[in-house]
Amino acid sequence: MSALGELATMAKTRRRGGVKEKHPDNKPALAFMLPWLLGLLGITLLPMIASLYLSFTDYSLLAAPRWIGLQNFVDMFHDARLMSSLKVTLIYVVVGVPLQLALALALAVLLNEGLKGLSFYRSIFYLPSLLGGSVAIAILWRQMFGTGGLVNQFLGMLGLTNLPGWISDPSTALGTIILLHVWTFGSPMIIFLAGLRQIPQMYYEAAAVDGATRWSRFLRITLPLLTPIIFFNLVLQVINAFQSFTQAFVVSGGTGGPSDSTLFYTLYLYQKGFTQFDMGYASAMAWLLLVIVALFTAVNFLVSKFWVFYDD
Amino acid sequence: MPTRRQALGLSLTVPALWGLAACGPNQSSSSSGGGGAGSLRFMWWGNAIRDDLTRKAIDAYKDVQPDLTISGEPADWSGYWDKLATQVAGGDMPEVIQMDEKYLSEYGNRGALLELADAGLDTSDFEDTSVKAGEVPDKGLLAINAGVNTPVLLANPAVFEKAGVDLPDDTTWTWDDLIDRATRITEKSAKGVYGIQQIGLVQATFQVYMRQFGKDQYATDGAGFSAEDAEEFFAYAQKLQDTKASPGASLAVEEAGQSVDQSMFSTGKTAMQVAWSNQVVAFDAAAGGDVRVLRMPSMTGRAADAQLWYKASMYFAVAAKASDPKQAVAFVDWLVNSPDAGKQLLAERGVPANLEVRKAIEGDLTESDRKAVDFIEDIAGELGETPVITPQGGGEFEDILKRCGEDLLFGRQDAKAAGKALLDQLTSAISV
Repeated sequence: MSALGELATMAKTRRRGGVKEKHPDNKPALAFMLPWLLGLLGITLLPMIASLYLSFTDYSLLAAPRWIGLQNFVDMFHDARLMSSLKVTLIYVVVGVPLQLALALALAVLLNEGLKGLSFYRSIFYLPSLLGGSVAIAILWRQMFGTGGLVNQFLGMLGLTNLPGWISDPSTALGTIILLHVWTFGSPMIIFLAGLRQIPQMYYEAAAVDGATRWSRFLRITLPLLTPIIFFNLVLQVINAFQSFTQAFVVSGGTGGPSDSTLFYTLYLYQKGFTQFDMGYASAMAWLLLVIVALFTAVNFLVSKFWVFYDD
Repeated sequence: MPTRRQALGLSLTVPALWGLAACGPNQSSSSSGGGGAGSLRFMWWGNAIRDDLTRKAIDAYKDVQPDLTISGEPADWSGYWDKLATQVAGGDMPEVIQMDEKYLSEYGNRGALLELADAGLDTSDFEDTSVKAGEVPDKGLLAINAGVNTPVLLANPAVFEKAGVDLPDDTTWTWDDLIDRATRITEKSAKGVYGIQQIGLVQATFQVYMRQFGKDQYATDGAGFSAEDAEEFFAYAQKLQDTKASPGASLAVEEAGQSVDQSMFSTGKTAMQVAWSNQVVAFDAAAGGDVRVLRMPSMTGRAADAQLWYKASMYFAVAAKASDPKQAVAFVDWLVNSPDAGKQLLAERGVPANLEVRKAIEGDLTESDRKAVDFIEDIAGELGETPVITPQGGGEFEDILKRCGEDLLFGRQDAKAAGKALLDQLTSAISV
C-alpha cells in the first residue's frame, strides 16, 4: 500500500466508525492550525474576495476604485494583446507540459532500473527543478541563448552559421522558454519514481515467464498501472504552467517581447496592474484565468475516466 | 498501488487554484500614511553610487534638523514603481519620493502629490524651463527638477579611429551623415563591430526626430505626431538595419534590454550610442574614459534645428497626504537649494537645475561630470520648445515603440504599418 492508499483507507475507516468516537477536544488542534488558518484568511481568501470586487471596478491603485459593473470583462473581448497572450500561454501549456512529463517519465523509468548511486542521480536530475524557477537561472538562460551566447558558440563550432538570437527572435523565443520549462522536470520525475516503486514485481515476473519483451512490459504493465500518477502530474503541471511568470518576466525583461512572442497571460496581467495602472482590469483577468484553469482541470478529470486505470 | 482517491488529488490542486485570483492587492484604505512627528521616509530608485550619495545627504541634513529622522528607502527602477503604487494604494506612501516624467501626470492627476509652490518651495535660483518641467496642467508645481537632462549622442573615438573614420562635426551633421559614417565604420571594422546601436527602438531618438518635423511625442490633446511622421521614423530605422550601420534585429533587441556595462557601446562593439546626459558618467567609465558627447544630428545640418530640450532627469515630490507636509517640503527645499546638499549629491542625478548650486559644486565635479555639464551649457542657446508633459497612460510609450519597432525589424510589418500601429496603440493607451 502506498502512503496515498493508506491515507485513503484511514479516511474510510474513520467515516464508517466516526459516530462512535467521543467528541474530542479540538482546541490544541485549532491552536496548531492557527498560523495556517491566518495565512489562508489573510493572504489568500480576503485578497481573493477583494480582487473579485476590484474586477468590477475601475481601479488605478492611486485613487479609490469606481464601480463599473461588467465593463472590464466586456473590454477583454476586444483586447488584442489579451488574446495573443492567451495564445502564447496555451502553446506553452499544450507543448510544454506533455514534453516535460514525457522526459520526467523516461528518466524515472531509467533510474528505476536498479542503477547504482540512485540517490545521487536523483538529486542531480532534481536540481533543475530547484533552480529552474529562479531569477538567476532565467538570467543565465538569457546569456546562453543570446546571439553571442554559449549555445550559438557551440553550434558555430559544429559549422552552423546564420544562427538566430534564440531569445531575441520572435520565432524562437517562446520555444526557448518552453525548453527551460521542460528542463525543470524534477518534481514530476520524483513522483513517477515513487509510483514505479509501487508496481508489484510479480506482474513483471509473470510477464517475463511468458516471454514479454522489455518494451511490451513497459507498455502493458508499467504504463497502465502508472496512469493515476500520470494523471496527477498532468493536472498539477497544467495548473502550474498556466501560472508561469518568472521565466518569461526575466528573459524578456518584463516586456513579453520580442514582438509579444513571450507575453504570457500572467505577464500581461502584471503589466496591466502595475505598469499601466489598471488594477481593476488586472483583477478581472485573474478571475478569467481562474475560470480557464478550472475548466481545463474539469476537462482533465472528465477525460480521465477514459484512460486512467485504478487497480483497486 | 495508488487507489481511486481523486478527492486527495483535488485537495492538493485547489490551493494552487486559489493562489491565482489572489494576485490583486488589498483594497485601499484611506488612513493617512507615514511616520509620526519627527520622522520622514524618502524613497528613490537608482544604483549603488546614488544610494551612497543620497545617504550622505540625508546624514548632512542632521545638521539642519537634528531631531528629524529620515529613513532612506532605495530601490531599483522596476521594483520602485511596483512598490510605490502599492504603497499609495495602501495609504502608506513615503513623504518624499523621487518621480519620473513618465509617471508625473499619472500620480499628479490622481491627487497623490502635493503642490510645492504654494507649500513654500523656493525656486528663485532655477532656470524657468527647469521649473516648468515639473508643472502639470491645472495642478501646478507637483515635482521639482532634481537634475537637468538632455538627449545626447555618445561617440567612442577609439572605434572611429580604428575604422579610419573621422568624428563628425556635431554642429552641422545630418541624419544621412550619421548613416554614412556608421556604415563606413561597420565596413572597415572587425566583424561584429557596428557604427551605431539600433536607435530606432530608443524613445529619445523618436522624440528628437518628431521635434525636427515640427511635431513632438505629445501635443496638449494627445499624440503629437501623425502616422506618416512615425512611418518616416521607422523607415530611417529600417535603413539603419539595411545599410548595416546598425546590427541586425536580434542583436538590436538584445541591446535594448542591456545594462550600461554590457552594452555594445561600452564593450567597444558600436562606435555610437544614444543616451541621456546623466548617463554620460556611467558610459564614460564603462567605455574607457574617452567618450565624446555630441549633439544629435539634424535634418538641415544646423545645430539650432536639432530641437534639443532640457528634461528633468528625475524629480523630487512630496506626498499629498504627508503627515507633516511642512517638514517634507523643507527637506526637499534643502535638497535642491542648498549648496551643502549639492556637494553631497553632485551631478549624479543630472546637472543641478539650481544655478547657484551648479556653481557651488563646480570644483567637486569629475572630468566625466564636466563633459555633461559643458554639453548642457553649450546647447543653452539652441534649445527648442519645452515638450508637453507625458499624459496619463503615456508611461507605456517605450514598450509600444519597442513592440512596433521589433515587428518592423523582424520583417513582420513594413514602416507604414508600424507607424500606424504606433500611433493607434499610443492613442488608446493615453485615452484612459
